[in-house]
Amino acid sequence: MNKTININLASTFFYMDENAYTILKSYLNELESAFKNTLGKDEILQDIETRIAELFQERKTSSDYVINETDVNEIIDILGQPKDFILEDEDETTDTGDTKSEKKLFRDREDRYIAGVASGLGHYFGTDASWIRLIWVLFALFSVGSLFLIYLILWAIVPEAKTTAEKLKMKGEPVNIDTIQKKIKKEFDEVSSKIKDVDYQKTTASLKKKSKSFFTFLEQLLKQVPQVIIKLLGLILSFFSGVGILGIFIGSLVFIFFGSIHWPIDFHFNFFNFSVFQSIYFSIALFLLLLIPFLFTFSLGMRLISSQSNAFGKISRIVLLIVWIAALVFIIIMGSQEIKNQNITATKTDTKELNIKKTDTLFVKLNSEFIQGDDLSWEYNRANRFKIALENFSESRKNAKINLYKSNKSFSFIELKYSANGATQEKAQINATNIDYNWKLDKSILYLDPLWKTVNSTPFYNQKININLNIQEGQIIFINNRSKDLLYSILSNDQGYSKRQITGHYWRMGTEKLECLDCSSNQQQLNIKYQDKSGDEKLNLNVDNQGVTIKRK
Amino acid sequence: MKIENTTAQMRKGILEFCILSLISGKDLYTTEILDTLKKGKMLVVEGTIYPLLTRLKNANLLQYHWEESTSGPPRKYYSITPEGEEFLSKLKTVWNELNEAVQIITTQK
Repeated sequence: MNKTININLASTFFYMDENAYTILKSYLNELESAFKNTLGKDEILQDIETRIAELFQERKTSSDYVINETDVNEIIDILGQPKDFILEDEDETTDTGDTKSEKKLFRDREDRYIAGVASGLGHYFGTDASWIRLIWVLFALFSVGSLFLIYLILWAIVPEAKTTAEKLKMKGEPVNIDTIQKKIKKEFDEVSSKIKDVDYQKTTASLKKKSKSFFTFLEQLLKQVPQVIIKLLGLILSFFSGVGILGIFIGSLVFIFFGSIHWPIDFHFNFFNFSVFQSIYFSIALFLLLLIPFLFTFSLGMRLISSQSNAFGKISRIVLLIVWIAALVFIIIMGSQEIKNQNITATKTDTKELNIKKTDTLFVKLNSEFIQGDDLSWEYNRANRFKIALENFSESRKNAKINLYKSNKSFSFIELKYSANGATQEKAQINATNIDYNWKLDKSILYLDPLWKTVNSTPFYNQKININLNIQEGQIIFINNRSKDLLYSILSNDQGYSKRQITGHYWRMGTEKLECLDCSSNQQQLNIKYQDKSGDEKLNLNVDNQGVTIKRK
Repeated sequence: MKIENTTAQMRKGILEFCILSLISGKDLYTTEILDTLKKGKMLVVEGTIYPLLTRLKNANLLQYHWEESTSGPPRKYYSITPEGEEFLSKLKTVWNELNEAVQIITTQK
C-alpha cells in the first residue's frame, strides 16, 4: 500500500506515490545544499524544478497518472547528481562570508557514554571529550546530586546532532558543499530528509522527546539487570558443575588406582561392605548417575551465560537422559538385590585351644607364612596396586580383626568367628563357610594372616572374620608392631594405653587388665631394705632392668 | 591528474561557448538547448546546464522571458544580449585560434 501525494511543481500538479516523493524531496534538498553558496541558487533550483516538471509531464500518460519511484530515479539520472556538476560551481561559490559557521552545542551520539553530552561539550570547547568526562567525574564527587540534575537538563535541552549540517556545526566546520558532500555520501538519506526541518518542528517537541528517551534508557537499564543476574547465575552454576564433574573424575580415578587402600580398622566403612561395590558395572552406573546431572547443570549454566552456547544437541541430551535413567534403574535393581542378599547374617565359630605353656610368652605375628615375602600385601608398587584394585572388584579380600580377651577357661584358646550375609540362612552359611583364613601356632608363635579371602570368588556379602584371642590369667603375650592395624577390641591395660599402643610390649594377663611388664612407668623392681634396730638403713638391694645394685652403709 | 577533471574543465568552457552560439541564432527555451547539446554529446547530465545559464544571465550575456506552454509548465525562453553577442564573437575568435593551434600541434608528430 502506498500513499499518493499531490504535489505542485513549477505550477503544475502531479500525483506521486510516497516513495517517489521521498526520493525527489531528498534529491531537491541535496541540490539545495549543493548550490547553497552559489549565486542565483534559487533560480537554478527553480529551473531544475521546471525541468523536472517537464519530464514528469512527458511521462504523464493520463491525467491521473501517479509518478512512481522508477520515474523519479530515471529523471534524477537524466539531471545528474550534484557531484556530477560540482566543477561548474568551483570558482563561483561566494564562500567568504558565511562558510565559517559558528559552533553550536549538540550532543554527539556517535561518541557517547550516556547521551553524548560530554562529547558534545568537548566539540564545543574544542577539547577532547575525555577531559570533559574527567571534569564530570570530579564534579560528580563534590556535587553529588546536582551534577546528575545538570546532566539531565543538558540532556533534555541540548539537541542531538542528527543531520550532517548539525554534525558539522557541532564541530565548527564550515557547512559548505565540500564538507557536506563528504558527509552526504555516508549519510545521504538521513541528511536529505532532515536538513530542512532542523529548526522548527523539533525544538517544541524536543523536551518531551528527550525525557522520553531518558525513560527508555532507564527501561533498557532495568531490562539488563535480570540479564546480568542470569549471567551471574549461569557462571556460578557452570563453575560448580565443572568442579563437580572434575571431582567425580578425580574421585573415580582415586577409587580405581587406590581402591585397594586398606582403611584403618578404626575407620570403618560399613557402607562399602556390600557386594555391589565389588561390581564394576555398579561402579560405572554410579559414576554415570552422578556425572550426568552435573553435565546437564553445566550446560544449563553455559546456556545462561550465552544463549548461543549449546553444549549438547537434542539427540545427545535425550541419550544422556536415557543413560541416566538406565543407570538409576540398574542401581535400584542392584540395590534391592543387594538388600535381599544381605538379608540374614550367619556366623560360624571355630574354637581351638592354644597349646602353650603358661610360662611361655605367646608371640603374635602376622602372616609371613601365608603371604609371599616377609611383609604385608599393601606394600606393593603402583602397578600391582592397580591390579589389586581391579581384583578387588571380583575377589573380595579384607582385613581380619584381632580381639583380645581374658579366657574364661583354664587354658588359652583361639576363637575364629566367620560371618557373612546372605539371602537365606543356607546362602549366608555358605558365604560364611567360603571364607578362607589361615593361621597357625608354631611352638609359642601364633601366625595370623592379616587378610581373609573367599574361596570360589564369592562376592562380598559383608564377610567378616574376628579372631578372638582368649588368654588365660598369668599368660604373657607379645603382639608385634605389624599387627597394630588389625587390633579391634582389646582388653584394657594398666597403662591406659590405646589398643594401637599395646604392640611391642610384654603383657601379662592379670585378673582384670593386661599388665605391662616392660613399660617404663611400671618396671619390675625388686627392692629389699635392711634396717637396724635404730632405724638406720644398713643395706639396700635393688633389682631392675638396669641390673642389680647393692648399697651398704 | 584525473582525465575527468580535465575534460570537465574543457567541457565547461566550451559549453558556455556552445550555449551562447545556440542562443544567438534564435531564442530558445532550456529544453531545446538541452536537446541540441545532448544530441551533440556536449552534455552528460542535464543538471550541468542550469548553473551555467544562470551564470550567463547574471553576467548579462543572456536574458530570458516567459512563454506559456500548451503541454506543461511555462517556458523560460533565453535570448542573447548585445554584450552576449560581443562576448560570443570574442569566444569565436579564441576558439578558432585554439582550434587551429590544437590542430597543428596535435597533428605535428
